[in-house]
Amino acid sequence: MAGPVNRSLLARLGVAAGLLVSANASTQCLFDQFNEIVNPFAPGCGDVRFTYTENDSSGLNIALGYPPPLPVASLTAVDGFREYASLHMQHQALMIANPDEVAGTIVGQTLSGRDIWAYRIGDTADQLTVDGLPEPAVMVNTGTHAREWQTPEASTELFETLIETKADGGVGQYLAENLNVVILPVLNIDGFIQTQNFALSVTADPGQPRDGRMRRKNLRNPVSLGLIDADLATVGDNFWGVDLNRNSPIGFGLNNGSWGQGRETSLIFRSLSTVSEPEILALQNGATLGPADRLRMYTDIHAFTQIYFTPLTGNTRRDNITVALMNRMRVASPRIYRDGRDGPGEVGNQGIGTTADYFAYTFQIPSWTLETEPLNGAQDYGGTSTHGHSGFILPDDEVARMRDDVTNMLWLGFYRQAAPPRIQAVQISEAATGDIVYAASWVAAGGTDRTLSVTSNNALVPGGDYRLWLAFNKPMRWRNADGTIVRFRGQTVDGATGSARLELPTVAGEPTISIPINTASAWLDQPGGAPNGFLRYADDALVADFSIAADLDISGAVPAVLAIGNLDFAVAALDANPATAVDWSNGAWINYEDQFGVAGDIGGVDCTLQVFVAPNSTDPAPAESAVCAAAVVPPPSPPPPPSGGGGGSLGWLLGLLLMIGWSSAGNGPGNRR
Amino acid sequence: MPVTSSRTRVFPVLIGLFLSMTALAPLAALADDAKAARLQQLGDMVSNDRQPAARTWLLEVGSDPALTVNAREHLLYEGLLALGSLATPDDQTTQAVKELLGYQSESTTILTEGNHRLTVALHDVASAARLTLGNWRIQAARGEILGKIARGQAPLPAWSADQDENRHIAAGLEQALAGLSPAELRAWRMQISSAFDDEPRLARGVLLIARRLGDGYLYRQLAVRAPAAVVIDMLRDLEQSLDSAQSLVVLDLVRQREKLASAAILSIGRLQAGYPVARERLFALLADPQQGASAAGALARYGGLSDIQRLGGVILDEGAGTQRRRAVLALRLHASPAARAELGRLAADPRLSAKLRQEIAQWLAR
Repeated sequence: MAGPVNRSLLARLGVAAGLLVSANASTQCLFDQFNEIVNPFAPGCGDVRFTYTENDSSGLNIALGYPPPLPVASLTAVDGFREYASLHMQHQALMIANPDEVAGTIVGQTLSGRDIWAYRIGDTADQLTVDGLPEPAVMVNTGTHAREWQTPEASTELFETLIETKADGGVGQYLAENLNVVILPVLNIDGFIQTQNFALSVTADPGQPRDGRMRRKNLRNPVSLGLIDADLATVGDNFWGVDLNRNSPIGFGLNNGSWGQGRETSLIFRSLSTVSEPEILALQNGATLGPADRLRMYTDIHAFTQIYFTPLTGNTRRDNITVALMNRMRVASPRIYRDGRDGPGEVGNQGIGTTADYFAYTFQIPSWTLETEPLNGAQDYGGTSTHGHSGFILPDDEVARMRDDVTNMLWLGFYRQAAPPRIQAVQISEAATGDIVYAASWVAAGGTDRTLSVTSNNALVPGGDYRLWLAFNKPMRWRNADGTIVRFRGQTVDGATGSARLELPTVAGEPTISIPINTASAWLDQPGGAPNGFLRYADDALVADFSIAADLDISGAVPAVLAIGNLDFAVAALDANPATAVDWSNGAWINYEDQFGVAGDIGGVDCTLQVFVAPNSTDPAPAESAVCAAAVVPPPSPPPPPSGGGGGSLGWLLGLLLMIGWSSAGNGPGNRR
Repeated sequence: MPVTSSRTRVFPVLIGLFLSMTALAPLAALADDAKAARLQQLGDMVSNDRQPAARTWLLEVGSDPALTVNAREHLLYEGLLALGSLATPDDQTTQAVKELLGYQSESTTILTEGNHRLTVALHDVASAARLTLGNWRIQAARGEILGKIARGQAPLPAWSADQDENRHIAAGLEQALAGLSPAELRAWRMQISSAFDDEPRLARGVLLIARRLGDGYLYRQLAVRAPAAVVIDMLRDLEQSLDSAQSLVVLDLVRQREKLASAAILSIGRLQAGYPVARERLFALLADPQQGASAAGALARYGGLSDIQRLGGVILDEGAGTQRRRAVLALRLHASPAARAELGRLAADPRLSAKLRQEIAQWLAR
């Protein structure tokens, strides 16, 4: 086992005007094999102060290759980082200007007595979905580590976007009306302000920079249990503080055993007891705004390395949902966000005391530490790098793009966790006259039940031309800035997705009529309801024309069923039985049925809409109902045919399920937070 | 920091040639003092402008079989930074460094302090080459500008088709201007200002002149034309160069730029303590749908106790409209017991809507 090594010697020597400045090798920071500085208070280690510059690497300067960002006083976003006071003013301004959508709460105080705010964004009045059910919730925490300035910017943009789009008639309004988003924008306020007060200065060692711009921990003095000072010149406390991402109860003290997290000067010092820090208590209080039992997703944003560090709790359904959701969100970024799920030997091992561990194990919800960009360091932006610490300092001119990128990923996750898609209403009308043949919608029937309220149920007739209007509970398609339906970044659903079939299973030959809903032009982005407008949100409804063959051989009224297969733009399939409202419990969906009526986490084909075909439009409905092909349990598989052929009647369903891209746990890279 | 080597990548021409000859040679760790000695050698070469020797140093480090990959890349990284101090690199030295732009540093798996296992380059040699070349470009641009001045030509740089090079050229211009006396700056001020009308890349140079000369015209020009990053930089200390009245004129111009308006209004806040016109501007802006929140923030942050009662008056003004909530915001953000007391008084005032009184009461209860 190696003894202490002087990893920083060359950097400490530095170069000034072409000359190397010699230094006493005994006065450098020394590291043990666990990356711990063993002489933090020795002269020449903790008292050394470096300065970040754009181009000057002489002496004690560290050149980034781009202008070192300075905090900006501005409520609204700039190409750069806002100072804490401005971020807080912006949050408060959004709260006060939008009392019907934002509820702000002081969930705790930092060690220095600063208020820690959390904001719940949604419809504050009733906390109910448009269905009248308790709203689900998601939570985002940022600013845990002081130096990671990217993260409050990302959550503030998320906050701003949720408000800007609250009445957009589309996805933003859907989220506002059906989801509570809890944002805790700056958890470690004291530390964050400390880093902003010393935006160009950092102490100790380029290989492990500490106080000033690179402070990670809060300002806890482990001796007095009070507050350390904010003065870099008083070296004795520069290494102190508690790592707020090691202070949560789940996995507390289990940071790979041999690491120095029990040492008070360690960068990952966990404190001596769990939830000892007021910031962590505030985070737990913030969860109650959801409220906690409605949470379905938690994201703790950090920097950097572009990865979702994702705890797997051993709850199989929860873990599968978590991985699938993570994979959907990862690819919603144009950058390379990596799969950081727990490795096989780490599943269910209680984590290492991170906030993501706490939410994963306590609430059994998808939860991760989302490390934002860069992947490697400043070199990703044309800057410099050694040991990658420059990655904590995103260039000003990359900030706006980063904010958009992170918001995009979260947006998709929120949309997916708000609710699986389901059919809400349907109308079939005669194409020529507009006369309504069939109309129905799902209505609340008490508790979590719904009933299908059928207001018209007349016969479809052979030779008839019809218009199907079909509405869902959420916007189903994504449009770009030009208003064109496109795939949400990284997803597979577009205008060509989806299938609708009118099936007549009691007629000889079991004829089916394909209804062309798989075109972008089918989706409705103008209001008005049936038959040509959306129901509540843009693209929550579609319209398609179809005909029944004149030579359809029926002698009386026969039952028919609409078999609807579709995916929302986050690639979630329909809840096939809207009669029971989907909810979330113990890490999994409840009442999320497939076409067989089996509840699970994937959904399936909706076969609940029963219509009928008859020789005459005035014929009464038949007594029996129809079962769609997708819902027929297949017999045991026969031996495979000698050669390939068509996909069969369920081929399209198989394709749909493949499109969902269901991912299971396992084969993880084994990263650890 | 535990380090394990992972995979080898393809090295570019310069280093690759030598490594291919030595790939099978046993690798040995090089002690810190040996590395320091080698860097000291290079430092001597740089300070004495012995460029052929410095190039040889680069080649030798790249081909030394005694060096581990990490030691080699560490030396190359630090060595390249040292070369950045050469005053006038010759073509061969420049080319040698350019070849290292393509160097792909060995990826190693490290445990970072967050206990992540990551595969990164410990010493990104190419990035050091990039920095050194950039510094040389800065020096070259600075020399070009000073040469023009010496010849009586306007100190306007020749821009490149490469935007990254232009960043360095602009920095060279700044460095050159920084060394001029106020009289010299005045001599060239109009030509640079005129050129800036069509060339935003001159903005940092213009800002330097504006600061040095306290030039209100140039500040106004920057307020209208400069890239956002330069304007943000300008706002940091505007009032140190201009008096309050001139500063407000500049800030009002910046305020017309939507993405910079909030920053401008917070800067107006800094003026308002000693300049009543600025305070009036902020109160007037409370009613602005886009800028009102920032005005409230400015009043809260920089306003005095005398503003509190006035804000209370705005809140009670029946015609206040959107101003009312902005004034409430200002009081909410005002870090004083007096503001809190005013909010308490308002929470009990029947002239306010029941909803707003309830909201205020809830804040006060937290």
